[in-house]
Amino acid sequence: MEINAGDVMLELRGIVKSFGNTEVLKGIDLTVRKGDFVTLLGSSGCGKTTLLRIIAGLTEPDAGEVLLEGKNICSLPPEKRDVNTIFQSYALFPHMNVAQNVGYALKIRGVEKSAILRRVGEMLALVQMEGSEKKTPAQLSGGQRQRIAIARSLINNPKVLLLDEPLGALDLQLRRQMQYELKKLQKQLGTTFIYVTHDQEEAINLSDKIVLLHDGGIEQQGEPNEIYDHPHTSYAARFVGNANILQGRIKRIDGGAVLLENECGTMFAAWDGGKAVPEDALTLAVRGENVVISREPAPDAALCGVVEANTFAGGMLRIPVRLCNGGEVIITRQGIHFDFSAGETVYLRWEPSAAVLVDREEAQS
Amino acid sequence: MKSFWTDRRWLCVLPLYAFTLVFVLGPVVYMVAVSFAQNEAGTGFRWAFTLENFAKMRDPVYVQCFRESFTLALSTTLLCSLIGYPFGYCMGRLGKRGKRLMMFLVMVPFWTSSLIRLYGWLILLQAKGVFNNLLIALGLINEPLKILYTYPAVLIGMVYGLLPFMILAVYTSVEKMDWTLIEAARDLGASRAKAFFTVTLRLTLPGLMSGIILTFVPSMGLFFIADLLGGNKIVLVGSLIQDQMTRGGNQPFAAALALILAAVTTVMLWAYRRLTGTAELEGML
Repeated sequence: MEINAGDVMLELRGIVKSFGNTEVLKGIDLTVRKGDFVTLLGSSGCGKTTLLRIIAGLTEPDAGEVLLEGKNICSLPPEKRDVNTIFQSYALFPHMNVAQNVGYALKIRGVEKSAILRRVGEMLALVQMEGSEKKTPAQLSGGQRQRIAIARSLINNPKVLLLDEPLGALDLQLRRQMQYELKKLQKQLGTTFIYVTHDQEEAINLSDKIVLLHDGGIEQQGEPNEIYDHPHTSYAARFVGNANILQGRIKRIDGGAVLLENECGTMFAAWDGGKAVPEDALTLAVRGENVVISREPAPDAALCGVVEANTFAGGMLRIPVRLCNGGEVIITRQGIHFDFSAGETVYLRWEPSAAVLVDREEAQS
Repeated sequence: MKSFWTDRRWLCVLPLYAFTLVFVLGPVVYMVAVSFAQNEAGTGFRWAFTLENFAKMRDPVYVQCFRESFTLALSTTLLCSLIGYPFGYCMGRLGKRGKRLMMFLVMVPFWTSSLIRLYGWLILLQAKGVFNNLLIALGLINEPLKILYTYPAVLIGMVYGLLPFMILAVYTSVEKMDWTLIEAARDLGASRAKAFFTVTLRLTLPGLMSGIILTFVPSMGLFFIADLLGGNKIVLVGSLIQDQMTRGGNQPFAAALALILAAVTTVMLWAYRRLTGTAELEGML
């Protein structure tokens, strides 16, 4: 994906950071386009919050550069950077009321009082908190505090808004609603958002681009559907798509499909046209909803296994099937009806296009 | 009312109330009563209502004594704040081990009687003492400075004695600070200094105010420091009360002085609550 230099809002080059003996970030290169909603996705400890703090200027990198609209801002303290942060705990000032909190950035810059009040009113309207000027943070609910934190950090029209798991403290229903509102707000203002989360659903719903971090490095980056449909690694496939990871040796390559074989049978995957030697062990990722289950072995390709149980959660059935080699495939189905019971021997298959080869050593195109 | 007789838990707190009544409230009532009694040379006092003990305080000598005590208490509190706040602040920002070490160092003086520690200052400050010898050795002065038995000596002694209370009070509130708030302030455009004055200082103000109360109130009454290091040249209300009680033999006057002192203290405490909006003193040990 080519990006014009003029479209680049933020660029990270070779960011390295260690805490003690632990290398948290191992050379991060990242380009963020103007007006994009970019999500830094990863499990806890992957370095995503540290990366955000480095952009904000709250943590100093050991090496690397942070460029905002082409200018290196690494030497600037946080107050001189044209980026603002929404903290996980919101960090509203407890000794100030809502208006003072929201107007803080303007007051500190010596803006005239009437202008501050007007702007505070505008910001509160933007986050639908009109009339709450005189309340203190302690009098607000979690969702309301969230809105005030958003208003406070957007009052200065930052070039980039950094959000550190801002919805983590809210309950599921409120989180869904705030997701929608955040996205709407971002589109309306056109501000570049960099959003940190460990929730892949949230990342998929909100982002123009997902940056999947793993173990201090970027595992994969791209549009949500790109990562979801074409994960490059087994980690990405598991984390973003909840995919099943299976291994097998090449038995046959047939046009767009490759047939893999292991102890439990054979399975298809889409052939990526890469280098391959027969008998090579390859890894594939297949999502649970694409697995077809039957009592009879399929003529072309099937894996043999035993149904272990079935559990219903979040409007979905989740059926783990134990393979003869000890591996596990989790099948998902909409609804609550499932014809197979625990202990039954079954055969699993899927279309070649439903499975993606991952962890390929050569560069992915 | 039934629960009062069936539920006997109130019996448990009874000794506490009895103790408070007998040993705290009793003496105060007695003191107030005595302050309105008539002095009788030689035999103590007579139970006859009079205001002369309070009228006597208008004497310039005693007014001066109150003024001097007040000035000394104020300077002590000011110095304790100026030294204790940064000290407590830095202590609160240390790591776990640093905090423990500093806490230990701050607490060490309490292991020795304050009187003995004051004799230590006597040795440090005297004409041929450690302090003067050091200054002479450094070539800063030729003649030993007269510090002992002067006002500065008393001030040094007072600040020395009361500083730990200020440090601990400030430390307690700094410890409770959520430093994300400072990051938020910096992020929103505040420099280090502005973030400190708009956020940190405001949020640690209750600690500083407690420290001020904890240093100001005792420094109005600490008489032995002024007696030892000031050489009886500086008479504070505390010394005056002690003097009137023992040598002067005017118990009603001593009681009246103590009552006024207590009144000043109460006004201070009331002002504290009004100013900070908190009922409890932070760092009270």
